[in-house]
Amino acid sequence: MGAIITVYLKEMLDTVRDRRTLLVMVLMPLVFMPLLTIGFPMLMDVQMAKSEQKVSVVGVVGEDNSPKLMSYLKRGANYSRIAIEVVDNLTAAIDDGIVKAGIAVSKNFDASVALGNVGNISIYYDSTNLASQTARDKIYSLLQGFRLELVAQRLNASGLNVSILSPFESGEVDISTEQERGGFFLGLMLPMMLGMFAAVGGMYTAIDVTAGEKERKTLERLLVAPASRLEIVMGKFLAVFTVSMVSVGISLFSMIVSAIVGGSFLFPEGGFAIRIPALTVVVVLGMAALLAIMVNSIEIAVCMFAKSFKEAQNYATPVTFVVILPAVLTMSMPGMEASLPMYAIPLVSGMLVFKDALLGSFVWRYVAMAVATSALYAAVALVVAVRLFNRESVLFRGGG
Amino acid sequence: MIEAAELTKDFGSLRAVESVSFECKPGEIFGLLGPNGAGKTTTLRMISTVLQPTRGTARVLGFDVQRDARKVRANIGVLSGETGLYGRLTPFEIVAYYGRLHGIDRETIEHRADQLFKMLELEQVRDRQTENLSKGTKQKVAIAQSLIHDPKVFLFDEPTSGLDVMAARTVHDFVFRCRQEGRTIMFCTHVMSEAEKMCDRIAIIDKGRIAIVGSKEEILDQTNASSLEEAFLAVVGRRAE
Repeated sequence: MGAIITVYLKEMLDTVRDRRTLLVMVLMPLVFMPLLTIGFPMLMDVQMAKSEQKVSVVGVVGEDNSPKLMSYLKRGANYSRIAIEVVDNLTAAIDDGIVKAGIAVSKNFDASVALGNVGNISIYYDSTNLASQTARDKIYSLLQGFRLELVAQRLNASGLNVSILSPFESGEVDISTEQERGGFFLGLMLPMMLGMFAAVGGMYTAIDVTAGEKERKTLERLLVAPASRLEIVMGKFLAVFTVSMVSVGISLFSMIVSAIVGGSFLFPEGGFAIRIPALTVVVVLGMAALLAIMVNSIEIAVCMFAKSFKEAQNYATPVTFVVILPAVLTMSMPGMEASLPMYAIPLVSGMLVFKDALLGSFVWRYVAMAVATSALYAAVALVVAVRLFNRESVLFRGGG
Repeated sequence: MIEAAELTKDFGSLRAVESVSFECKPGEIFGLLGPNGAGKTTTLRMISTVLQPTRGTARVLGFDVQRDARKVRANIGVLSGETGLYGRLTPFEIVAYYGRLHGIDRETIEHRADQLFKMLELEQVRDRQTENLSKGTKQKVAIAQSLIHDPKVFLFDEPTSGLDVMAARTVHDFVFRCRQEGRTIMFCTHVMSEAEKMCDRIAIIDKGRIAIVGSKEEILDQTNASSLEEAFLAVVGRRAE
């Protein structure tokens, strides 16, 4: 036990002095989470507002076909932030950037509508251009208003009131609680992030304590110390695990703070509360620990094969993604209903438990299944890592 | 005392060391001389318990390298030319780390590290990060690290490889001091002049087998050579034929 602690303390000291590890362990979750939850939505909101406020030049072809429409557009131009430009060819005008979007009015539009027939207006835009899409939305909104105006005129001409079109009103009642809505918001990203930091948080340490030790030529010196290989690998594993859990803890804290701050920004009307009961924290951290044991053991086993830090990085990065991606994809599949067998799938079970915990909707037999199977997978992965550390062909691969 | 009997090591179908037997007594420097890839490091790794012999046995101070591996490791110090140190730790932290792995208490580590740093003139760099030190100074730190548990047996694997003259001299002085103190010393090298200068007895190893063993005079006598280099070429050349 003494040797395990000695190796562990040394690896932790080495880790806290390694800028790369600190970057991944502390800075990434601290910066990444607020950026993702507050920064990007805020930036998108600002950009959208900017884009909507900017005057969009709208092209018109066939303006003589509907003086009524032209008059309506001119009246609404200032309010809808558009400027009208008569052009000959809409496609060319959009391509050349003269206008952002445009409308083509069918022949004799006004006359046709007056006779009670259907007129036609085509909206031209470039779906690969955000400014063009914004201009299209403005045109669409104006045309909706114009349509309603024409409908009202037709109904009046027939002696009917426009309210005939609205025989009833509908509303919606959200039965979810503020806490559930807060949990749902957290549940969108947090499970994936916790899984990611459990894997990535300790990756550099896993590389450093295995392949890094080989590259520095310190491994052999360590092997001639009177500590068993089991003690050495356990000390190293505990260091990788600690780093992963610190990373998970920081990302959890950062995500909750970001959700509280970002939630009030994204849902200014309220109806959103972040309350994390102690039981949720215990379940999330416990599950994250099992997940980290499994992923860290896999990382240590894989990195042990490598002769250098760079080679280990080449192995560990794809392995981490291979481990995490299927779980994330499974989680985001449309129409996916969680069932008991799903709580036995490695990593997916962890993500499901994270989600349940955040929603506060535990089904204890599901949690028990996830904990039991994850503990089993974690134990197997750890045993494999320890066994590999005992193999000369792995430790001294390529002459060691 | 180191005793090796019929030590053999296979890596898959490759036989790296074959039936190597020798004895290394306390107070003597026993040299293992051979070209690169001759099996010197593999032999040393079996004696230091890092590799398991495929066949044969080795005993260090009477402890079997397979059955009593932990006791063997507790009594040996290893120094190689490829200085492997933790760059982000200080010399004191490195030495203390190995001290703790050997089960030495904190007070003794402090006391012994002070003595070693004084002896090796490392006091000025005691608390500096090792990655910023010169190669020669790093080798001194490696010496301190290998001495912290006061081992009775020392295994040197090309300890001066890549070092400048002054740093190599520090290592040589250290090896001689170990002999004076009555430690058992095994010294692997491919440098003839170094073997000639350092070793009391020499085993020339080639292609995994010991070709000849004895004092320098005995080897010259047996090979009818006038220098160790000539003897080495005679032995290795004869085997190559």
